[in-house]
Amino acid sequence: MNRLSSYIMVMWTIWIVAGCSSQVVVSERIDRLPPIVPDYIGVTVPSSIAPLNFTLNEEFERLHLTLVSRNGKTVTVSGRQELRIPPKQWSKLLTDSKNDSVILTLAVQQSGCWKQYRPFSIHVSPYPIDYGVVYRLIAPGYELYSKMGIYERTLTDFSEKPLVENTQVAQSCVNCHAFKQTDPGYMNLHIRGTHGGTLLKTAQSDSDFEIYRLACSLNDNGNPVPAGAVYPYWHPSGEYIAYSVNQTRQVFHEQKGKRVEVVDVASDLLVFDVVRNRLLTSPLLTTADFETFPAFSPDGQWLYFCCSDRRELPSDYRQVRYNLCKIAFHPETGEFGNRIDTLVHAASQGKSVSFPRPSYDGRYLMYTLSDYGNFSIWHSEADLWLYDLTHSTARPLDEVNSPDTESYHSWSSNSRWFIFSSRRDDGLYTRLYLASVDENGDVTKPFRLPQPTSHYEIENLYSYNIPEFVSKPVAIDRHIYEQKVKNPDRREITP
Amino acid sequence: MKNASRIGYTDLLLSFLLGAGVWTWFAVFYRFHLHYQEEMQLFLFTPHYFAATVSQPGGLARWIGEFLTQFGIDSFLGASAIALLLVQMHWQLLSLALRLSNRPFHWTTGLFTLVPPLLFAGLLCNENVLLSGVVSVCLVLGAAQTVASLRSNTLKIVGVCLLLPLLWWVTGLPFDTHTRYPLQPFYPYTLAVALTLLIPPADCLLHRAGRTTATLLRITLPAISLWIGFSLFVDRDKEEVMAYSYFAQTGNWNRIVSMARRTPPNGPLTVSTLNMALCQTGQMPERMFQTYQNGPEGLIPSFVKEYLPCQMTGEIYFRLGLIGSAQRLAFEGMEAIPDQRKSVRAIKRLAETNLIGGHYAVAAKYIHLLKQTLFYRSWAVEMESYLYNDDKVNRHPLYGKLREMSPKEDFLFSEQEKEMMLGLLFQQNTTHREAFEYLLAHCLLSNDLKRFGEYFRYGSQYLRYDPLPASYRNAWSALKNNP
Repeated sequence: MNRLSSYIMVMWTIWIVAGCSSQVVVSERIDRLPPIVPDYIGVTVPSSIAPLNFTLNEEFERLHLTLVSRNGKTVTVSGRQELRIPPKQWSKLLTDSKNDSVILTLAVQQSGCWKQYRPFSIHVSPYPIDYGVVYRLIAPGYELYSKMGIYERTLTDFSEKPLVENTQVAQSCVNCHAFKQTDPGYMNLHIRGTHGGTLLKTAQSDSDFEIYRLACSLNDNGNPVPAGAVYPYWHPSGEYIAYSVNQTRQVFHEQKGKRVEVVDVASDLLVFDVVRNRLLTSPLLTTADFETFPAFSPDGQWLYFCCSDRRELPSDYRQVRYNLCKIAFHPETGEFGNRIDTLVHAASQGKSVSFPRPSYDGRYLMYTLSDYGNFSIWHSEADLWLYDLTHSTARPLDEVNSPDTESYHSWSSNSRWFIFSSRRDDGLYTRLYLASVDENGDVTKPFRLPQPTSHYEIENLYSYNIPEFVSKPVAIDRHIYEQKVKNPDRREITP
Repeated sequence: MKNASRIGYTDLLLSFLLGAGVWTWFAVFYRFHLHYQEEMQLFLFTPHYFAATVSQPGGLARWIGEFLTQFGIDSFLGASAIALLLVQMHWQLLSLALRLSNRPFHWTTGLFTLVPPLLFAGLLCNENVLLSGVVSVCLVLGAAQTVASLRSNTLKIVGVCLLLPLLWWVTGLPFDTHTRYPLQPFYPYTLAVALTLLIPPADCLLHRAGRTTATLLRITLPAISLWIGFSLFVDRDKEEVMAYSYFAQTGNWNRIVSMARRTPPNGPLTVSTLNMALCQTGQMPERMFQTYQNGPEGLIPSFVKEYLPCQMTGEIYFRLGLIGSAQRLAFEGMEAIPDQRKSVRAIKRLAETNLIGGHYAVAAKYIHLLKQTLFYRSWAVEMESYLYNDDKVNRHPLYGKLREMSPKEDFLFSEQEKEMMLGLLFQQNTTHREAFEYLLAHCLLSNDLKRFGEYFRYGSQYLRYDPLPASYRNAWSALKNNP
């Protein structure tokens, strides 16, 4: 054999060996599910969701993932630190597998050898999900805050854009964003600080939005005290918005395990008539007791809220327990009913309800249950519960609850998905999880809001607050926002 | 006369003197400002951090500035970074002046071009002025050198048009004043930048003036710049507070005590840090009243919504075992940073407090971040071995001790009832000498001898002081005389 042939043989051998070493040849099968992070094993996702990128919580040299759709279409992904699934291929896989599953098989290279875990599935729901979510990003701090803002995140990809940020107006705080049943054509946003006010955007308003000053006061043990409006909730007609009016204090724990306690030393409820510019309330909603967290029923005939007996605060903070109540509301006249019904008497069970949120189909009402108080994000025992409005029964959402905090939640427009805040990842930084509910009330395993990289949330030093679905992009011009907020003019609304 | 195309030995000497002077100043006489700047940022040496930073206007200057600022962890290195930057500025100005001048080069040009570096050296003595500001100016000068080197005027015009938007993006100038208050104008910086850009053409104009006048101006202006820069922006009081903060952070209690011997502190932050140092070295009951005291505020200062007071007061809570408060103040201090950056000192403290508290998942998060820094990586890697390992944490000489000293039962923090908190802390752990001494000190500083007597009687069942320290002796004597 001449030298050229020998040379070709050698090069061919080298090429084959090099090629083989990059191929995945599984030498061992591991009979367990892979410990992936985030945990997406067995979750149910909408077909339009962004790719569920993840990594492995074990030492490895390389990862190799094979995804197979219902129709047998295959996508493979590799990575040295994590797996980033190509968005277009992911989208096709999910679309092909609607109402079925995508099977994922993960192989890991360790000490030069490839090992394969037991395959797992990701179910693709037939139910669509809304366009995106809006949330506030803020550090999980105490009294001070640096940068914060309200952000819109699309669910089909990873893009996140700021709607408003407190860097636009010095020494301001933005919070309590709310939309009418996911419709961003109706928007509420509170701005605190020197340029404080309430931004309201409605379909009726000629301009983009207006900034109001709502002259609210609350009943502090018989004394009217000026206080700001918080916790907004739109009436389904878009003509009213309910608020609680609160005097809030913070106290701090010294022992490990707890950090912050937030208490309302006084709170009442009122409703702002957006069309007629008037503030409405009822003596039943402005008692010396604590009324908070209003939420209209989807038919607009009821106002749900939480109510606790008055206590001495902050000394008796552990005795404050809120029940879930409702009062009739007549949208034609803006009047309230003359009695309060209690749906869940949590206090008698040594528990406390917060954040009642009815589904928009009128079937369920989700709430957070904790041992006491109302600021459940700081309570690791806080869990989500589901109240069946048809059968008047309640159950804990064991499918989604974790040993750590589950707190704020909201429904998608079709009432088939909900998003909620959870501190299950590390006990401090709030992350967002989504899960679905079918017609029978069966709830699926939640999945964390997907991010571009698996390290994104580890390095993220902000918490997600008040996640709200939106059915389309929020149309708010940042420059107009800045001009209007800095302008001292406000539309004054007095009782 | 030197050849106009060459920079001479005199200019080299001037640059050397500039660099040596700046280095000596910041490395020896003003070093705590470097440590302060270093701890008020969290510079991650990762592609993602780079991309996120440079994608903003002024981002490249900021990234380079932060990169250099991190060397402030060691004052010699930090001073070197500043000196090199200012020498670089000097050389750039020299080079530009050379290009613009039609006359043979003169050593007074080297002197004249010292004006901006001296001004910026003074500006950098203000803790709110960031190194990225100097980097921005160097980038602009570099662009000016590039344009000046182009042959034809047409090319120069094209160069300017192309470079201007690029310069705005990488430097943030003229809108970004590179201070800790991004929304507020800072005219000294703006004036310094304008002056810098005017120096090369001004040097040309000075050639046309009378020789005596030109030489006089070239010699006096640098001197005036030095005087302006240093008299307006040097703050020795703040430097002292930063020194106390630095030594407390590094646990160098003896340095604090010896500093106080030379110059007794008189503000709540420095006095409280000295008290802590005395407590940590077992000298508090004996020597506390040999120095200036300003009441209970000088023992544990009240909460102030600023970075450094939060860190310094948090250090006291940390050493007392009130880990919840230490954690809160580290977090609050970080949130108080005006330009909304994160603090590596605060992140490190949060990693520690969460480790001590057993919140390992959160501690892991902070440790993960610190692993991506240059100078805290090794510490972070070592700390990783403590995660989810209670035994190892318990055996740590500091963390184990603090864990033992922490409250066993919960109580709420009260700014107005620190005595109560100290009492509860001691009651829950009667071997907690520091809590006991702070409790007694609080009574003495509040002139509450009756309470002092009650607490002392209670505590002396568990802790013996033989002989009785001076302050306790005097207090008992006063009590006997005024029962």
